[in-house]
Amino acid sequence: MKHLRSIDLVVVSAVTLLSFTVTIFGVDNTLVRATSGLPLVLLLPGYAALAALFPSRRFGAIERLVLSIGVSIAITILGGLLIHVTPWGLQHYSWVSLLGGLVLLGTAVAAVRRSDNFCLTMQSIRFKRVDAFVLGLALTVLVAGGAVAVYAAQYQYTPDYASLWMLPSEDVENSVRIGVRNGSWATTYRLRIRTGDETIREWSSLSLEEEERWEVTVSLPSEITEDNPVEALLYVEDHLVEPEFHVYWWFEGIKNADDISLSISFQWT
Amino acid sequence: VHNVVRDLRRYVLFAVVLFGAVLTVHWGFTSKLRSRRSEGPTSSGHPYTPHRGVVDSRNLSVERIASTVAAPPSVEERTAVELGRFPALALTTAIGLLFVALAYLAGHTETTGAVHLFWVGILTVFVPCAARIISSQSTRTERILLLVLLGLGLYLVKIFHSPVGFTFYDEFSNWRSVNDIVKSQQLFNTNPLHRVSHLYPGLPAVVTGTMNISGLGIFPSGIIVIGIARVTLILATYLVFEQLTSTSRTAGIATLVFMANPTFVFFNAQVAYESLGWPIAAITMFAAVKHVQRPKDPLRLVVAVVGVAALTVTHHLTSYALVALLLLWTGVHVIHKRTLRDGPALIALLGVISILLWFLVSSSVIEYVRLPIGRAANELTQVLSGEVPSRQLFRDYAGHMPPFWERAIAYAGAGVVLLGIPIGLWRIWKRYRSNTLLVALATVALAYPLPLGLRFLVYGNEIGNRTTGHMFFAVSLVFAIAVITAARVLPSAARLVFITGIIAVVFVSGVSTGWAHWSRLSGPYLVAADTRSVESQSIQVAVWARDELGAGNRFATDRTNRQRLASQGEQDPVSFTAGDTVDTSSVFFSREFGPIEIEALRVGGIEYLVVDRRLASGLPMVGFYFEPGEDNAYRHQTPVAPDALAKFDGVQGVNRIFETKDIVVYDVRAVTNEAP
Repeated sequence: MKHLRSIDLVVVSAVTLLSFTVTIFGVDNTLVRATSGLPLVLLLPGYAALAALFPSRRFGAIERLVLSIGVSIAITILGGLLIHVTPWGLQHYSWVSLLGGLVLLGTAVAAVRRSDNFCLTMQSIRFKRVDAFVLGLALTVLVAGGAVAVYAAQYQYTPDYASLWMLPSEDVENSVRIGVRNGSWATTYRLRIRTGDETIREWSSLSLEEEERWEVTVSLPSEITEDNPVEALLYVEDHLVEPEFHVYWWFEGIKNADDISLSISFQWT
Repeated sequence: VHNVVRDLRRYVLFAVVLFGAVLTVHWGFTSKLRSRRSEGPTSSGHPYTPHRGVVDSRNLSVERIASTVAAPPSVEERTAVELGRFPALALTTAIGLLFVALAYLAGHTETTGAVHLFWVGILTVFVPCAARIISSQSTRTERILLLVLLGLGLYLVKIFHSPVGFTFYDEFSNWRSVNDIVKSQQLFNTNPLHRVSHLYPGLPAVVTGTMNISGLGIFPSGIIVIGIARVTLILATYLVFEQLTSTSRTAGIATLVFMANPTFVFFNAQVAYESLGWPIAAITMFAAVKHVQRPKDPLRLVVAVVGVAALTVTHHLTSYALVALLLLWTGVHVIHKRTLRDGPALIALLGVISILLWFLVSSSVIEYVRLPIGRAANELTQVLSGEVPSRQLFRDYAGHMPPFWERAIAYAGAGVVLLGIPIGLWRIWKRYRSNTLLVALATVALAYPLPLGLRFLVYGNEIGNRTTGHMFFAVSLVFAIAVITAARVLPSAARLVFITGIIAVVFVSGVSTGWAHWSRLSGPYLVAADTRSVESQSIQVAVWARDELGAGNRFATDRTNRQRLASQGEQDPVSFTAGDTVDTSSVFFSREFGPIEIEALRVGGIEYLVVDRRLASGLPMVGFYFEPGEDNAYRHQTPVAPDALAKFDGVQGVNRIFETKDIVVYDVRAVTNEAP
């Protein structure tokens, strides 16, 4: 058993200041931010509040933990409502200022109010070597289970399928943007753009790698009427009888027709 | 991978051998130490019987218990903490979770035996920990450690189900709420997936705060917040039960039974507002119990009041349930003590005021709560008058049933609890009737059969499930007292097996009835099946819509794609259940696209339609494709007609702008006059 008067308040303040610093200076290290930030939201506000309001009370370890987390969550919820009505809104500066400020204020008040004969009771855990071995084994098996779960979850999001889309271009008048996003396998396509029976443009061999994205802007000819939509048909190379995908757009007729022009972009996603 | 999962029997055998070997080695190592160790009292200052951890609490009132609980640390607390069987049981828990993960993999690969592997895994998590918690040889510290271990183990069952992203239904609406808060830096943004969730911003506020300060993404932040909240829930529940019964063992068993409730493993492990509401309610209850024990001490009153306030803005039903319990407790207190003083009246009153004040912000929740209750009441009348048949238990809306043994255990679990309640009530009356909160909880447990009856209704089923979960806080303690009482007639050697077996049956029953069998395991796409409908195509459409169309467009689509569009896609899909005034389901069911359909789209301000052709491939697992109020909802006999879904093709003015394997997006702004 160790008797340390305010070591807990020092640790709490240090973690808070660390979190405050990394947030304010935008430290881009997730491990540091998460390690210091998670306690600042979920543990320290309640701990500091209990220490400040009830400086001489003896809590059991479990009771202190439960009340610290519970009060922290409550403070974060009610603090969120408070920040909501401020001009700054819910952003990282306002969060860290509110919660960090409360924690530092709480620890300062607790440090002043704690009596000289206050002592923090800390329990040690008797660890045998076999316990450490078994816990290490448990952790290993758990990590293995997690790896299997993550591997299994990939099935939920695969395979990725190809897609075709067409939208009027906002940048180039009387033109459409057409895009193809490939799926999980490298594939060669044939893309045909037509209106009625007239082919506007055709790509007979469009080879795309896995998950590659291809986009083109096509200016439309003057013959476009409101009776026939502008269609894009995407065929897979080994199955040219029916289009794999088919999209179209009904135009009300093109008044200022330009020659067909192309703007093609490739993008890996 | 197929080969690994195929031969499940070998792995089960391997697990059993490994488990046995680990326990043997561990117990062998620790037996010498155990024989030397003196078995001290199990809690600070409690009049526990050494070696048994059982308190002789006859004639102990709450006040008497309070005076003992607040005593200085005992000898045990001042010595080092013994881990007991914790390391070995951590290993069995990890092994169980490995099996659960393999079951999920087997589900995805459609390997036979996945269901059995899941149950082997989850029982490997539950049973060994339960047995040790129930054992009278455990110390209080070990029991608490094991409860936390088990609680986290069961939480990981859900996390392993979806370890890389949200897949549960309510998680998507929370995702949308958090996303809106991060973008707008304001609370109370209307949520297109949920009518009232934006009026209860407790969870989104905590998740947003966690994200902003820790720099983590929404998914890790969400699961960490709920994970820590669940640990707190377990500990607070244990502490409440320990205060009431003054025995670590009974409190441990009651907490164990609480974890066997139908909503614990999956439903309340979601990153959703009820999942945070429960822990806050449990902590508030603990503070209230402590306050009643020491009314002059302001600490717990402060915590209880802060807890009630935080709960009020976090989850409506949980706050109502807590305040109802506090009022009932106050009533029992007044009857018993003939005074309001020294009871929970003040906290109950503040709870009522808190809820009433919040109604000023969230008045629409009344309609939200009234709607399903009204539907259930209406259906009950129809069932009783024979107009409609009652819901067939366990059968999903596509006509599938879980295996017979699972149904049998589910019935057995419910039956055992129903049988146990009278025994528990009798015991409470005999021994604890001066304990006003225990009497209040016993009164709640009396009403337990009512939500079970609601399961025979289509619209009452969800109400029944949620109510069962809330009532289990009371039922678990009454039932724990019952099983301990019943076990006394057995020889001491058989008691551990008896209690463990009974609680394991209740646990299996809870998991079976609390979460649909097709949703428990991962697997290939199913129509309108929430977690089983999450796959790449819907996500691809949502991401494309966000990138190419921008955020905030009005879409009409089915339930599954609506979730993706509103969360990942940042769109505003129309949803009657989320408060829109138009139900667009008829637009999709109709075989023609005429003036009625166009008018429905116009009223809803619809700009885009998303048509998922897979809807024509099967019946909806949740009972409906689009909205709970759609034609033939919960009674679909045939899937949506394929030509009904294809009717938009070729209609002049309806632009077909996106197609992937099974999903097509149409731009209908030209026909609904919603042109930008």
